[in-house]
Amino acid sequence: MTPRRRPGRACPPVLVAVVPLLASCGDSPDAADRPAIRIAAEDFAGSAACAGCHADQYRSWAGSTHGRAGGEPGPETVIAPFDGTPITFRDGIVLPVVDSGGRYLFIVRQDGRPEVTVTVDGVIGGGHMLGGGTQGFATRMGDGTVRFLPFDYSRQLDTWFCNTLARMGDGWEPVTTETALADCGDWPPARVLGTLSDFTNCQACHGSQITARLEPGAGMETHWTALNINCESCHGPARRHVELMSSAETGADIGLPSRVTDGVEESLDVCFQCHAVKDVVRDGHLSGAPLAEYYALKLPILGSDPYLPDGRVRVFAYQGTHLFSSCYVDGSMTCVSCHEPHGLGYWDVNRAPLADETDDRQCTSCHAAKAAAPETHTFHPPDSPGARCVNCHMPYLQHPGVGPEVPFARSDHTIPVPRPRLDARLGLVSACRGCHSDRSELRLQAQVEEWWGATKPLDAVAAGLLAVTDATGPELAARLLLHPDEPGVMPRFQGLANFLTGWVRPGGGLGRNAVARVSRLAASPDPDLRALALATLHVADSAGTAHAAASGEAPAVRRRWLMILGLLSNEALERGDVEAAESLLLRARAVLPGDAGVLHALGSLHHERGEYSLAISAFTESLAADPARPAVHVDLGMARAAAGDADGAIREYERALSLNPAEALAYLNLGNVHLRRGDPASAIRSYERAVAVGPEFPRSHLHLAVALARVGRIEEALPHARLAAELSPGDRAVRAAVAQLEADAAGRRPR
Amino acid sequence: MRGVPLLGAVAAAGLVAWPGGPQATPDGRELVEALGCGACHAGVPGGEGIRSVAPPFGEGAPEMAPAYVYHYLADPRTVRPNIAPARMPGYDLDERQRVALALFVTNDREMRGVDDAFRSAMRRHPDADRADGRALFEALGCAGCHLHPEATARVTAPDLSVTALRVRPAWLAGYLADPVTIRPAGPEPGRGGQMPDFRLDPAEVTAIAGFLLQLGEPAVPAPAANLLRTPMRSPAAPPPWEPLSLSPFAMRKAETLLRDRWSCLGCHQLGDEGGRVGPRLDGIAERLRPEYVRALVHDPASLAPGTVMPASLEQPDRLDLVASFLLLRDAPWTGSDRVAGLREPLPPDTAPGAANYLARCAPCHGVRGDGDGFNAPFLPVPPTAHSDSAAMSLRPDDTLYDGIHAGGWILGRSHHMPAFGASLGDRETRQLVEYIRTLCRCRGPAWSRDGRGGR
Repeated sequence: MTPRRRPGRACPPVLVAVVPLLASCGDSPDAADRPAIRIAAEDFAGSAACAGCHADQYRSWAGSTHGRAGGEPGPETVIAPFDGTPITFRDGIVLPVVDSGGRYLFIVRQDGRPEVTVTVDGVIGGGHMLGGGTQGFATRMGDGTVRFLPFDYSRQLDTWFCNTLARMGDGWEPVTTETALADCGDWPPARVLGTLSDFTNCQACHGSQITARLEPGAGMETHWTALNINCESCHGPARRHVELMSSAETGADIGLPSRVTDGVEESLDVCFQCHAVKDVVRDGHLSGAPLAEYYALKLPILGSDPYLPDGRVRVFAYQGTHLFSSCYVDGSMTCVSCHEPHGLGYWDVNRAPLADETDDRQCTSCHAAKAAAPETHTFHPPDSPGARCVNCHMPYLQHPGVGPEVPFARSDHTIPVPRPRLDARLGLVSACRGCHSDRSELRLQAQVEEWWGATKPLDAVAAGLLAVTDATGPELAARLLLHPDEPGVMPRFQGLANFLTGWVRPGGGLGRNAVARVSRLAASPDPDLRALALATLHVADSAGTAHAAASGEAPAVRRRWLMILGLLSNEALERGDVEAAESLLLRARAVLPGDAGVLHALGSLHHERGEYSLAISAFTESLAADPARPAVHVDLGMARAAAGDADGAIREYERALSLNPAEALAYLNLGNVHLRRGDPASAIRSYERAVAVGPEFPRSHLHLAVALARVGRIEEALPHARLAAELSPGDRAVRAAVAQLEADAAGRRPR
Repeated sequence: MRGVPLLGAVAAAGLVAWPGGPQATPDGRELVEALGCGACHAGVPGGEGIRSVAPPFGEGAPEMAPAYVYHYLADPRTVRPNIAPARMPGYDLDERQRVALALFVTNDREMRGVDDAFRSAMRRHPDADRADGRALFEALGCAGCHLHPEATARVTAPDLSVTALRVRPAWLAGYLADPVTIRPAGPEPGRGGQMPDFRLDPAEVTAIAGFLLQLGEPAVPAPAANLLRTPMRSPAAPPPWEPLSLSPFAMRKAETLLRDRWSCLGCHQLGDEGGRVGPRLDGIAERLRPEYVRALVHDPASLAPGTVMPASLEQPDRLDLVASFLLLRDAPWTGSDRVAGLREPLPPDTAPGAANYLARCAPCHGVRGDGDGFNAPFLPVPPTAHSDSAAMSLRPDDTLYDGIHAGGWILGRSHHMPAFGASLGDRETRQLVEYIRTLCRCRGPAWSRDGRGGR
C-alpha cells in the first residue's frame, strides 16, 4: 500500500510511540483560539546579552548543566571521541572525525553503498546526568530540517550507542558488530529538532527557542537561539528587557516577569517546558508563552501511557512525575524548591545552599519533624547511604523505555514511600533492594513493616488502578477509578483515562454513578482533566449530543477534547474498529466544526474504506480551513488517484510541492502516478527526488527499486530494495517485494 | 468609710502634682515620672509616683459612685470642670467598657448614686459585669497607676530606653501629641496598643520626646517576661543601614512576595489587606528607623526576646528587599484600628504547649482551636479548626510539626501561616503538636504512628 501519511508525529522524545491521528489538530486553531501572548524568535536576545548586568547569575548558569547542555560542535561541547576510531557496525563502519577545518563529521562506510559524510551541526547534551549522561548529534538536512543522528554517546559506558526502539523494538543499545546501521531508528535521520506535527520529533527541548516550521513555498526552516538551555528558556524573551533597561529610566515593567514571585503552577510550567512528556496542542511554543496553550501534560496518559498506577515511570517520562508526588499534591513543592535554577546546584526550600543532591535538607527544610531525631525514622546509621532521604525516597530508576543496556536512570520524582512488594509487582527495583540486593522483596517488605508499620496508603486512584482488572465491571470500575475528590489532578486524570479506554464505548452510555463522578470531574478547572471528562461523557452519549456544551467551553478545553476523541479514534482504527473510529471522529467534528485536522483524519478514514468521493470532500474541506498543509494535498491527490483522476492527483502533488519543495510523499506519489501511466523514467525521477529529500521512508526506496527494475536497471534497484527492507523490518509486503527483486536479479530476468 | 460616696475626697487624689506648674518650661524627665510612663513602659522610672496620686480602688479604698466613674471615663473634664486638669488620660472607651469598668472599680455594691444615664447604659449592656471590668482594667493597664487588690499590672509597653534606636523624632512628637493605636490587637484582643492620650501641650511633647530620645541603656528593669505581650529589652544598636535602592520592578516583586508568598500579612496590615495582630506596615518609614526595621524583619527576637513574631527562614537578600520595600513604599502612616472587644478570658491551662498555642496560634485558630481566632476574619483562607476531630485525624503529627516549623505554604495551605522553625525548638514544637491533639481529642492516622516508634 502506498503511504498516505507521514510515519510519525509528536512523540516522547526518544521513543516512537503510537501516532495520534489528530496530533496535528493544533495546526489550525480557530479564530477564538489565537495565542494570548504572541512571541516571536526575534524577541530573544541570547544569553550573552544577560552577562553584562547579571554577571553572577550568568557565571553560575554558564557552568551549569543547562549552560553546558549543547551547542555548536567544538572541544568545549563535544565529549564523545571524534578521533577517527571507528564505530563498527555489522554492515559498516562510522568514523567520527574532525577535519582540518575543524568540522565534526561522521563518515559512514557501508559495503556496496556510497560513502556518506554527515556534518555535525549541533551537539545535544553533555553527558552530565548522574544516572546516565549521554550526548547526541544533529545535522542539517537538505529539506531544511535539522535531524538527530543515530550515533549517540554514553559517558558512563564510554561507548557509542543508538536507539533501536523504532525499528527493532529494543531501546538504546550499544553499537556492536551485531548491530546493523539500519537497526538504529535514526538512520537515515528521521527525528527533527523542533516541534513539527508531521514529523517524529523531540519538540523543542534540546536547545533554546528552537523553531521548525514550513514556510509555504520555501520549505522547512529551522532556527534556534542556542543549543544549550539559555537564560530566556526560563525567563522568557528578553530583547525588550534589554531595550528597556538600556533606557534612562525603568518602570515596573522591565519587559520580563519576575520568576521569584511565580506561583507553584507558573514555576512548574517553566521547567515542564522540557522536563515532562506532553502532547502538542499547538505548534510553535516559545519560552515565555503560556505552556497550556501549546502543550497538554496529562494527555500522554491517554495515548502513550507513560506512567505506572502510582505515577512512576512506566516508559519514559522525565520529571513530570513530580505531579504525582505528595510534596506537590499535598504541598507546594516546585522544582526550584530543591534545584537552584541558575547553577543547578541544590538548595533548601528557603534557598539556603546545600552541598549536593544527597543533602537531607532538601527534604527536612519542609519535613522538619524528621530532622530532629532522624534515626528514629531512618533506622539506618546516620552516616550511611540508607540514612539519606533521597536514597530511599528518590532512588535512581532506569527508564524502562530505553531498555537496560545504556544507563539512563533518573531520580524518582514521585518521591514515594519504599514499598518493596508493590515495587516488585510494578517491575521496579525498590529503593531497599537497590542496596540490599541479597534480600528478597518479601523480606524487605517485612522489615519495612516492622520498622514503620503499615505504610502510607496509596492515593485512591492508584489503589483503584491496582485493583481493577479486565473482569471488573463498569460500575465497580467507576468506583475504583473515578475520584473527583482526590487532590491530585494527575491521578484523577489517570483514573479517568483508564476508565474511558477500558469501560466506555461510543454510544454505550454510562451508569448513574459513573455519570455523577465524571460530571464532577468535568467541573475541574484543569483543562486536561475537564476535557477528558467532557470527552468521556461525549463518547458514552448514545445520541452524541454532549457536544452541545462544547461551544461554552474555553478553546483550550475544546481543543483537548477534540484531541482526546482523535486519540481514541486512532486506537479504534488500530484495533480495526472502523465504525468506532468514524463515530469518534464525527464527535470530534462536532466539538470543533471545521477543524482542519479532524477533516483530514475523516478523509483518511474514508480513504481506508474506499469511500474516495467522501475522502475527497473531507480533504477539500480540510484544505479550505487550512490551505498550507502539504500532507493534506498529498492525501487529496491520493484520493483523486484512487478515484481515477490521475491528472487531479498530479495537481494536488504539485500543490504540495509548491508549499514544500521537499515534500517526499508528494514525489513518491507523483512517481506512482507516472509508473501507473507507464512512464517509468518520469517515475524514477520522482522517486529519486523522494529518496533524496526523505531518505527515511522505506517505500520511496522500494518504489524506486521497482521502477528501476522495470527498466532493467536491476543492479541499481537492489541496494534500494535492500535498504527498504532494512528500514521496515516488520513489513512483509516490502520483504516479499525485495525477495522478488532478488530472485529476478538472480535469474537475470530484468523487468 | 461607708456611706454616700464622697466625690471630693477622690477628686483630690485624682490630680497629678504638676512639675513646675503650667507656666514653667517642662522638664521631660519630671513629666515622664509624673505621668507614670514607667507604670507600663520599661526603660523609664517606674510608676511609684503616679500610684501615689492615682486613686486606688477595691476593698479598703474610698468608695466611689459607679455613675461618677462611668461619666468620668467618658470625659473627666466634663465631670470636674472647676478644678485643675487631671492627668487621667483619655482611652476612648465605648459605653459597654465604661459600664464594666465602673462596676469593677466601685465598692458600692448597693449601687447608690446611680443616675438615669448609667442605669440606661447598664440595661443596654446587661452582659457587662465586674469580670469584664477587671479584664479591661488589666488590659488597658489601669492597674499600672491605680491599685486594685483584684487586678494585676500586666501591661508591658515598649522599652523607652531604646526609643532613639527605634523611632524617628518627628513621628515621636506627633505620636505623643496625638497617640494612635500602633498594634491593633497583639496576640489577643485587648492586648493591642493601649497608649492613652495624655493631652500634652506642645511644650510637654517637646520635653518628653527630647528626654526619651536621649535615653541610653535602661536604668529600670523591664517588666517580667510575658508571652502574651512583648517584653522589650535594650538591644544592641542595629548597624547603620539604609534601604536598598529599589527599582519599580523590585518594589513590585517585594510587594508580591509580601502579599502572595510570605506570612507577614497574616498578622500585619498592608493597605486594606492583612491581619490585625501586629502593627500596620503602611508608612513604616515615617515611624521607624531603617536599621530597626531591617533588624525586625531579620530577627525580631534580637530586639524583643519572646516576641510572638517569628524569625524568618528566608535568606538575607530577600529580607533586605522586603525591608527596603516597606521603607520605600509611598504610604502614609495612619496607625491601626484597635481591635475592639474585651480580652477573651484564656482557659486556665498549664499543659505543655498551651502558652505557646495561646500566644502564637490562638489569634487565628482560636483559643479552643475552633478556627475562630479574633484574627481569622482578616484572613482570606479560614484557619484550620484544630478542634475538628474528623479533619485532624487525617493529619499525621509530623505534618502538624512541619506546618508549625516551615509554615502553611509548604503544606499547600495558606501562606499567611508563619513558619516558626527559626523561633521554636523541637521540644516546643512537639509540645504544640501534643496540645493540638488535646484540642481535637484525636490522634493522627494509624499509618503515621505505627511501627516501632518510627515516624
